[in-house]
Amino acid sequence: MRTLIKIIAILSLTLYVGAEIKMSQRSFHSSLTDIGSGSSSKQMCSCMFVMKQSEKFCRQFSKEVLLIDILNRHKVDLENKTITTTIGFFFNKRQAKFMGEKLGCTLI
Amino acid sequence: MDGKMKKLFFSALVLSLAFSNSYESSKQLMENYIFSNHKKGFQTDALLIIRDGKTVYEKYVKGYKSTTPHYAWSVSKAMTGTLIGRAIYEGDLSLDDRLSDILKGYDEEFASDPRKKDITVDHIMNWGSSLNYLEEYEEAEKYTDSSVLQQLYGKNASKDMTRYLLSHDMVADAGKAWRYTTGDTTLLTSVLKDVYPEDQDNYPWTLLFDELQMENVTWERDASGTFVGGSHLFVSARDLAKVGKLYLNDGVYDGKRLLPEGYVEYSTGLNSVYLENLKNDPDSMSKKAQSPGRQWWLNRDFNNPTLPLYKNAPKDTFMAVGHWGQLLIVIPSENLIIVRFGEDRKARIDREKMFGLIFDFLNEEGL
Repeated sequence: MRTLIKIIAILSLTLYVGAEIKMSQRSFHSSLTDIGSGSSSKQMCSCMFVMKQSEKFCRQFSKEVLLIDILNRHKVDLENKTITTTIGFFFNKRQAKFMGEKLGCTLI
Repeated sequence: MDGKMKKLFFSALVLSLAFSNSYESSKQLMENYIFSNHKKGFQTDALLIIRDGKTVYEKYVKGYKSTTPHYAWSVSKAMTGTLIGRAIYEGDLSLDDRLSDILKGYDEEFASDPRKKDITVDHIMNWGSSLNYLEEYEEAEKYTDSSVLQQLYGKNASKDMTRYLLSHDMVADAGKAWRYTTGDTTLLTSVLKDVYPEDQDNYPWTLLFDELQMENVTWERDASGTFVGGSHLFVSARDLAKVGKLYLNDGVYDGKRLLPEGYVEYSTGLNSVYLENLKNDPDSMSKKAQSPGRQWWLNRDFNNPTLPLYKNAPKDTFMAVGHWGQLLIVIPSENLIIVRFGEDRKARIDREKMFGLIFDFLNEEGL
C-alpha cells in the first residue's frame, strides 16, 4: 500500500512539474501559479513602496487579489526594495522591484 | 425634586435624546453610507469633492493621506487618453496615425494578420482595435485564459506587453468590434513610447503631470519600459482632481490650453465603434452599464444611450472608472469634481445612491 502511495505521489509530482514546464514554454501563456506569484509580488511591492502602507497591511492586501494569492510567500528586501514571491514550487518564483517614486514597481 | 418632577425631567431627557439620535445630517448620512459599509463588501479609502473650484469635502481613512498615491486601476485609461490629447496638441501625433507606422520592432506581429496594420490611434481610443482580448479579472473562470491577467502578471507577457497584445488574433477588421480592454489602452502608451523615444521614461510628466503641478503620482511600466496605460497609475485624490479640472475647463488649465479644442468633446462623446455595434447587433451588447466614451464613461444607459443611467446625476456627468470602485467623476453642469478611492472587492458601491447622498449633502450645506 505504501509503495502504491509513493508511486502515485511521484507520478502526480511528475505530471505537475511537466505541466508547469510545458506552460512556461508556451510563449505568452503563463500558468496559474505564475500569474498568482506575479500578481502577489507586484501588489505587495506597490503597496509597500508606492502607497507606503505597512508590511503587515500589505501582506494581507496582497493575499486577497486573486484566490490563489492565499498561498503566496513573500521575501521582502528593504535594502534593494524588491519583493520575491513564491507560490507552489521554486520555479514559480517572481520578483517585483521598486524603480523609484515616479516609476513604482515592475515585475522583472 | 418630588416624584412627579423627577418623572417629568426624565421623560423630557429621554425624548430629547431620542430626537437628537434620530436626526442625522445629510453629511452624516453620506459618510455613513460611503465610509461605513465594510461588511457590505465595499469600503472607501478617500473621498474628495470640489465644487466651483473649492474643496467642500475631503476625507481619508485606513492610513491613506492626501499625499498618498492610491492605485487607480482603470482610471489610468482616462489619463492615457489625456496624454494622447496632449501629444496631438503638441503636433506629435494624429488620431489617424496607424500603429504599424509608429511601433518599432513588431513587424512579425503586424504581419500575422494584415488587418492589424490598419489599426489607428482613433480605433484604440474607441476600444475598437478588434483584437481578441479577454478582459476578465478575479472572476475569470480560468485565470490563465484571461488576457488582462496574462498581460499584467504572466511571466512572459508582462515583460513586453506590446508584443503580447499584438500577438492576439483579430476578430474583425480594425475599428469594427467594440471591446473594452486594458490591452487597447496599453497600446496607446506603447505608441507614446515610440513617439517620444528620447523621453520615454518621463513623457507623462513632461506632457501633463508637470503642467498640472501633480506631485504625488506614480506610473508603473512593464520590463520593456512601456507605461501600463490601461492600469498601473497611482495618484493622490488631489492630483487626480486636477485632471477633472482640466476637463471641466475644456482642456484649459490655469489659463493655458493643454488639449486641442474639441478634444474634451471627443473624449466624452459617445464611442462610435460601440454605437455601430449596438446598432448592428443590440442583443450581443446588452448589459446594465454605462455607455463608453473614448477612455471615459458617460452617464448614459449602455442599451439606450439617449437615457441617463444614473437618475440622481445630471446627464452630462462623465467619469473615469477603475477596478474596486476607483472613480473620478466630472459634472460640468454642476461645476463639480468627485474623486472616490476604495476597495470594493466583493460588491460595488451603489453609485445611484452615492450620487443621491452627495447631492443631498451639497444642497443641505448650500454648497
